[in-house]
Amino acid sequence: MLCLFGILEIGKGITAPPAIGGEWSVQFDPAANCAGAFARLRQPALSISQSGPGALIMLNDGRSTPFPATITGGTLTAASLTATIAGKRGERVLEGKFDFDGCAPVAFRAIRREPAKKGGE
Amino acid sequence: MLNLFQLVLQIAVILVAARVVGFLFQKINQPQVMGEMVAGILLGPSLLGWLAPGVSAALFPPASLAYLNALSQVGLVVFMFVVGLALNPTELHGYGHAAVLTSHVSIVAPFCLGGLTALYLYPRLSDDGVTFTGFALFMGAAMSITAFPVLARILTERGLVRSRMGTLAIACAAVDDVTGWCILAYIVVLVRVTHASRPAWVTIAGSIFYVLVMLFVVRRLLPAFERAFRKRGQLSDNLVAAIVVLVLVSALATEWLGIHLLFGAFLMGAIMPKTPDFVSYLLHKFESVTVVLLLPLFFAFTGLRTRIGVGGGSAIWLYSALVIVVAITGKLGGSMFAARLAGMPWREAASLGILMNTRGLMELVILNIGLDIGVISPVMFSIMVLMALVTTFMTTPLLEWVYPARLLKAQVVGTEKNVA
Repeated sequence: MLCLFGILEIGKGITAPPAIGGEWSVQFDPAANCAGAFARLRQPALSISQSGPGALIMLNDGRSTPFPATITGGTLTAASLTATIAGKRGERVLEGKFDFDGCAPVAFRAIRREPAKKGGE
Repeated sequence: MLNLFQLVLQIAVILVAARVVGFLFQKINQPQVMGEMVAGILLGPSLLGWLAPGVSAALFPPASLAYLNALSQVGLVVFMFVVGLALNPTELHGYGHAAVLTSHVSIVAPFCLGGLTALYLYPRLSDDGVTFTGFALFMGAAMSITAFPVLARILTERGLVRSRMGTLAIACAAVDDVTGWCILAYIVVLVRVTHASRPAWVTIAGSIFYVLVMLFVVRRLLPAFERAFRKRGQLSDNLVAAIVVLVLVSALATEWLGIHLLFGAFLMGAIMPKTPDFVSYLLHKFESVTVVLLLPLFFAFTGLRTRIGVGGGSAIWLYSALVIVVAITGKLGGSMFAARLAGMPWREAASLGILMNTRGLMELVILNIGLDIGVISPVMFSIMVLMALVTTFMTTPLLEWVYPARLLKAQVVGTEKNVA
């Protein structure tokens, strides 16, 4: 029991990456000139599966295009996406830029619709 | 919408794969269930999805998996009842010091090592949606579990059930199972009460009330089934259906309380009368459909959630190796040294450690619960599934190496002579 309490006490000081797993609704900058690309997306536009600082983002574009991403501090980085992770655990928001097929980087804001079921929050 | 053709096709493919791989594994002296577990993994993204993504997507589209999951959960409810039914507290009597010490150490050692490993893995494979406490306790529980049913099957297949080591292993595994499930129930409650709309005290008080009712009310009514069985040599269909309903009601009670369906089914089995012929009759009634039809569906569903070697980079293999080494050191090493301290010869102590290290199916059950409640991530789930496969696979060859069949036979004969 002492061993276990010791481990749990030490563990309280360890921080894990911010939780971003789940379904995300994405709002793009309406001024962006890529309406055709957005039309292909259905909400929730992003589905994120997370393990520690690694994540797999699935784009809901009919083909479920996956792309791996990394969380460093409060930033999510993938080949075609960079975003800051803001908000408290239950109310996470992603804000950043998305490189869409043949478009200039488009600003977006994503709100988590359905957080991945998590324990012990 | 339910696509019946697809569901039936899925079941047929899963059953064929389970039987074929199970048969092949038996040829290399592995228990059938080991092959069935591997068949489930092979049907998932780790092999079929990797080799033939088109076939995999057509056969197991994500939208269809809910039905497969529902069927496999029904199978698990019945299976957990069978596991509880096969547990016999009287098996613990008569093994004294060795059983008590070995079973306790075989839980404490892997539990603490699992907690220590969590210190390293938490920032690497978890996120701040899970507390460290929940993650560490789950890791400890998952490391300390022993697959009682697989263990019993290995002992039976090798003719070891009546040996001193075999009976001790069954007794220790029974204690481990009960303790492991109690710890897991605590973790599930800990995790769920923070998210549930109902207050924590309702879950805690309700759980205590439920256990008391089961132990002091329901348990006293159950011998009526045994008496009916004695009178006619069998149970009528109505009485068998009544047992099924009791299992389901108990499972629903624990699910409603926020623990988990499976705890209720397990407890119902554990408090059933333990007369050998009655137990064996019920096992015969419930086991066939569960083991042949429903458990392979659970293995396949587990396999479809497991992505061994898919993504995550080389670090994942390092974490996998770490988890496997820690699991073996804690369980095999802990049990072996405890048995040796209790006076068993080295060879028997090592064999006991090897047997206790079998995690098999029970580990998969626990890991699926962990993934469902979100206490482990999909990658952590895959790593732990790999650990469960490795520790189960290594049991038979390692046992043969440490304690060859001819020596075991001699020990069983010796034990029988002493009894006579």
